[in-house]
Amino acid sequence: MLALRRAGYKADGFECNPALVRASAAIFALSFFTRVGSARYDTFVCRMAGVSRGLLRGRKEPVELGDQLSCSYNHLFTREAIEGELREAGIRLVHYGEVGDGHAVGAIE
Amino acid sequence: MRVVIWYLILAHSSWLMAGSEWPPAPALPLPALIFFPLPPTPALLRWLNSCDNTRTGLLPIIGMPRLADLQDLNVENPPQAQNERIDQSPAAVRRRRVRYFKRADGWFNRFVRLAVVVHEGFWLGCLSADDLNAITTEHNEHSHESASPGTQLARLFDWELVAVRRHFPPASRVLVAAAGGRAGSAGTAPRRLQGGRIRM
Repeated sequence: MLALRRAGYKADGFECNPALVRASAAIFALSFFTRVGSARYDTFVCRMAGVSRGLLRGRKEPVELGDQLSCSYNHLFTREAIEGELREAGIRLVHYGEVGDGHAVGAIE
Repeated sequence: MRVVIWYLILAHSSWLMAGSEWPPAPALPLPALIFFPLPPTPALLRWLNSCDNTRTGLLPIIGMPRLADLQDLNVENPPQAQNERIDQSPAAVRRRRVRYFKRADGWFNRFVRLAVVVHEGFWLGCLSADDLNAITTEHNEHSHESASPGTQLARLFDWELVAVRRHFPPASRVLVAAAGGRAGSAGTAPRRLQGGRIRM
């Protein structure tokens, strides 16, 4: 936020996402971890997690392709997944990039 | 039975890592899958045969000789070893060591990847969403990157700068969601909280 201010923007911050949903006609940027769509590693992790979940009845939520647990829990997205998530939320994808962090710019319509 | 289970697991990993299609076609028979590049020793063959108590025998299926066949094999002095004994020049020894290392390194890396996949998948399936959140929270609390004031006050990433300049009108008002981490300053400037907003 300080960097945004130094760049000449009036930056406000908040911690709860529903306020963002209420915004209208807005442009927004988001970042995420990316994964290769056909990575067998992720597929096998997901299958293994499904087996473990079924046998041990661990988590109630289904394991999704792209879930990752190393030092912390992360979910990795493909471009198609990001597009689907935004479309479902009524957001148009304006820009998608994977240089640096995975990031996307969307427009709430 | 343990032999078969290990074979199936490792054969599947071989297919997974090698990128071939199902059914898996492991490049090496069972002993190589388990013991990396080491050739089957007589003791290993006898042990595998002792594990194989099926009537027809599983070992021939997976490319290993049965105990009865061992009598016909000169396992103490296999042909490969005979050939290698012929050339003991330093260059030949070095080539063999390089070949052994590459083979061992490849199988070791596959084994490590398989172990990581099994470990990660197992815990992903076991832990609830709350457990995963707790792990992430603890990691972030002990992470120097996310906790250091330098990170909190860091400049925008290159992609952030490009996206902001390209898509956000100059001097417009910006909302920063999830501002407690690197993107914001809730952790470093709580005094700036005013009416539920972080003012900077």
